Amino acid sequence: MHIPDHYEFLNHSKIISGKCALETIPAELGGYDAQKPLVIALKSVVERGLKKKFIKTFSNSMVVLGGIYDEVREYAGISLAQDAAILFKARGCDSIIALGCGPAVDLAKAVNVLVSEKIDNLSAHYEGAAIKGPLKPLIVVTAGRSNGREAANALVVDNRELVSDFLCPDVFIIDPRMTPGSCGESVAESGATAMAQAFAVLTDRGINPMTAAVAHPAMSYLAEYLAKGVKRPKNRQASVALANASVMASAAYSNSRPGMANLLAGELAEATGISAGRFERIILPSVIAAMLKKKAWIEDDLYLAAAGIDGYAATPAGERTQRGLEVSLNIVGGLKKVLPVSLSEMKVQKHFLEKAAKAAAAKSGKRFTEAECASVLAQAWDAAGKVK
Amino acid sequence: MNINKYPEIVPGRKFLKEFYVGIMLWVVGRALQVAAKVDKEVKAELAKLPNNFTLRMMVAPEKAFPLFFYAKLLPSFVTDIGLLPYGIQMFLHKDKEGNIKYIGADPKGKKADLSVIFTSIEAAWLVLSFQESTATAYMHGRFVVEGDLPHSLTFVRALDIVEVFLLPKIISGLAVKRYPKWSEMSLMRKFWKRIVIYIRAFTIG
Amino acid sequence: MLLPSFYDFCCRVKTISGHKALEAIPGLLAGMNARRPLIVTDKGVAAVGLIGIVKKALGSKLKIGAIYDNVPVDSDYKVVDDAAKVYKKKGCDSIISIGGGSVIDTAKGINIVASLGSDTLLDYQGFGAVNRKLNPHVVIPTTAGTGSEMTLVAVIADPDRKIKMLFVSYFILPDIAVLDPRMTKTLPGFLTAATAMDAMTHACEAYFCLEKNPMSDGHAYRAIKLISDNLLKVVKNPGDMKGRLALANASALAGVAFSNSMVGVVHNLGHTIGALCHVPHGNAMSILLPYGMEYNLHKSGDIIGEILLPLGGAEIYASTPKKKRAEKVVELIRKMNQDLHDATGGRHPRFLKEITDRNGKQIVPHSMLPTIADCMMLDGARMSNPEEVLPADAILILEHAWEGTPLNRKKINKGGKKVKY
Ligand SMILES: [Fe+2]
Repeated sequence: MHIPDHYEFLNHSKIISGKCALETIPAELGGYDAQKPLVIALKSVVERGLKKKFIKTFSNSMVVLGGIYDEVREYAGISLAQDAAILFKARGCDSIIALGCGPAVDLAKAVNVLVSEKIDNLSAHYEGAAIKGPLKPLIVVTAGRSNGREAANALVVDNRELVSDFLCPDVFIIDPRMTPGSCGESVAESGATAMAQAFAVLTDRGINPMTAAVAHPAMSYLAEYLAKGVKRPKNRQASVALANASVMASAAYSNSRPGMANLLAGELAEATGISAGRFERIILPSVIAAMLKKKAWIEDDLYLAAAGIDGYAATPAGERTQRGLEVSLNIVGGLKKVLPVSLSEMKVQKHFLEKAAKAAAAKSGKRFTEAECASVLAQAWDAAGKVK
Repeated sequence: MNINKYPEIVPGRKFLKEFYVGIMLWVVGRALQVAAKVDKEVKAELAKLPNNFTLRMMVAPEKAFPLFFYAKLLPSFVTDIGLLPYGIQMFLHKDKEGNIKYIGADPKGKKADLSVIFTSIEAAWLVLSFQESTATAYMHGRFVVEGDLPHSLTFVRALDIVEVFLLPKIISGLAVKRYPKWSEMSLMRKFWKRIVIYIRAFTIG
Repeated sequence: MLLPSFYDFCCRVKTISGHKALEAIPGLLAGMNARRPLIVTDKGVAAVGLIGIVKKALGSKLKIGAIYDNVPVDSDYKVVDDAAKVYKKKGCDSIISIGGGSVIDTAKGINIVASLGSDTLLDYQGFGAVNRKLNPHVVIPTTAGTGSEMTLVAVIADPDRKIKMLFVSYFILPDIAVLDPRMTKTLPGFLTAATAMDAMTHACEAYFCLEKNPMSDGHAYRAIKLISDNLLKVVKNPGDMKGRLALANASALAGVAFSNSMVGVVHNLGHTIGALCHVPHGNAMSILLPYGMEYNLHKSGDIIGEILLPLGGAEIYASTPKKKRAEKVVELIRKMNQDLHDATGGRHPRFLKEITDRNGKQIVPHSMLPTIADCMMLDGARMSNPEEVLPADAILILEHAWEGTPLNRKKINKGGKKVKY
């Protein structure tokens, strides 16, 4: 097992997953001496009628919900954060609950910075000012589509990123009453993001035992539940497992270096305004195909996590790298055609590809060349990364 | 921005579950009192607790509900099974001679040496409706213990034995880790004591 | 991978691992607005020159407020209060603790008193008493075993009342754990063996006890693998710095695993033997681990069998039939103890009757076993064990572990269902 000469690792968030997880929130808040949270909710989650269920779980507790700010849609903008911060102050709240993943969490983090640091906007922090101290307690109740940044030490508001260890949420609540997805598409997108992250962690040369320990269950759950979850988004068990995978992958990934698929998808997402998860779905098979061709050596952790203990032990040591990549390819294949499988299908303008390859190579810290990136994108153009 | 669009929400109460949990706490308290008299094993287990010892079982939060002014007007039976005024709890007291006695649900003037606190009404419901065994519930953090850990282990063990007495195997088999074999607990002992404990719990105590 | 019906997991300690990990401390403390740490340690650590190494690594950027090296082996709250006074007098704003379990627990206590304002630790007993963020605390473990750097518990004695006070809160978790092989380099072979087997026990028990969850499994798996790959090598070659780093990592991983999944009968009996007979914790663990597994075999055999992969490697795992895997795990642990016994010239005990004090006197007389079995009921670890443990069961395990014969599994009192995790 590989231990780098030096590494740092932090997984700040507590995970509470399973039956009656929501009912633990009052006690968790109590641990922080808080009892009046502001809830920042995804509109889509509220529209699915989960609000009532959510409120009911606070019955017989001391918690008073300072308000449910449910204006969050696809985009996290500073004006929403400012509105929520006004509500936070007006109601005398002392903590924040994000109800839903993706933009709801980004916004909740932003609101937290605004109210904890007593400022009106984030511009000083974008300029490089550090966040000074612990923020208010932030609890995330996972629901809806994940963007892979939930457990990370970062937020993105108005497409600008802010990084600080203080931004990690304190608690993740994964409750089977909240996790079932609305449609296969959203499950597939969250799954593709988690998959790309877990894959990046487990194939990184700088992998350390801590990131591996967190990415391992993420990859295992994806292998076991992704296909099922996409087919039956309302299945509780699969949805809980996939929500777990998302949180774990995101936590591990924020301690690791981005892989080629993450970098390229990130660039294309920025250029086109389409979410990165869709591009990850398309690019990941091509990246894996390229790695298979290159016969690059990777740590056993990938195959162990993807194939499980028995599958791993039954395979000779020399074949594990290749089998690990093949199994990963199959996991992505489990998404079938729920999402587009080629860049041409997405009608991405070709000149974006060149730029993306260049930028990704530059950001990779010399791990990938521009040519490698370009060839992966060329393959992804017409989905040449075959799915078994 | 119109902040009135997002009103403050004071969550409600689950009366049915409160009622059930209140009654169950009463039953458990009374059953422990009786079992400590009629069963050697429970007696031996509870003998490990020091004398003059007060034990409390309750559902968090303690101060959830303001004292209703009419609380004192209600018959003691209602307050006794933990309904309404005090949050839901029950007290057991071991006196100087080592007798265990159920002493009601009113926390006034009582100082608990050991508190077993269910973290939420739903947690209490899971445990007292036997969906989760005591061990599992402890693992899942459904209850926390305030006081000396050894004492709480003693109490949980006594509770396990009483559960086997009170409940049919199909239910208590879920609630305890190892259901006693006949070699450990005779059929006679179990059924006889089940009847005695039930009758006395609801009558003379 | 198993998906529990409910679990929680938390380990918010920042881990810094590496051959030059100590050098990162000033920067990290500065990031937390801390400039003047109190160093907490014991005389033993100071005597082998480890403080010097740390001081040199900290360089001139950091001003050390004071060095408190009066932590005794059995630390109590008076030491904590005393050190907290030093902390306040010297105007410190953070703690660096250097040592084993006792030092780390004491430092956790000091941090409670120093951060929350009172004069004595006694004010913070009870559930929820520690309810806000404490000052920065950096832990540098000097034994690769206890895993205290990753746990949210501090056990501190109260000699007046003759009890051990338990402080449990996420705020007690240290902020940073620094794993640097220079700090364990001087640890003698038999201590390396004992502490690493403690970590091994944490990982194994975390893997098969009731509170196991996907995250604790991921950590426990790697801890077991690292220890089984490196322990014997390091005991034979104490200067193996890569191996030392691996063991330090394993200890931390196992600490994460067991603080989230709890431990079972092995620790239950081990704590009791430790308290009654003063057996070193690591020795009790290495002796009892195979017995604890055998005892739970009929309830959790499949899960214990999975441990064979990290412990014995893929070839052994694949060539052992599924039903035999758990037994093979027990066999390999016994073999490991034997190998360590040989490699340390007999200083790593294999059975209870083999443990002796400095004068060669037996520490655990046979006559003590019934007392141990009775007192075992008062330890919290029995809750998480898959099979119920009562005094009669404990005596069965203890008799065998004392004599050194494999557990007679026919005599185990079985009943109840297979464990549902
Ligand atoms: Fe231990």
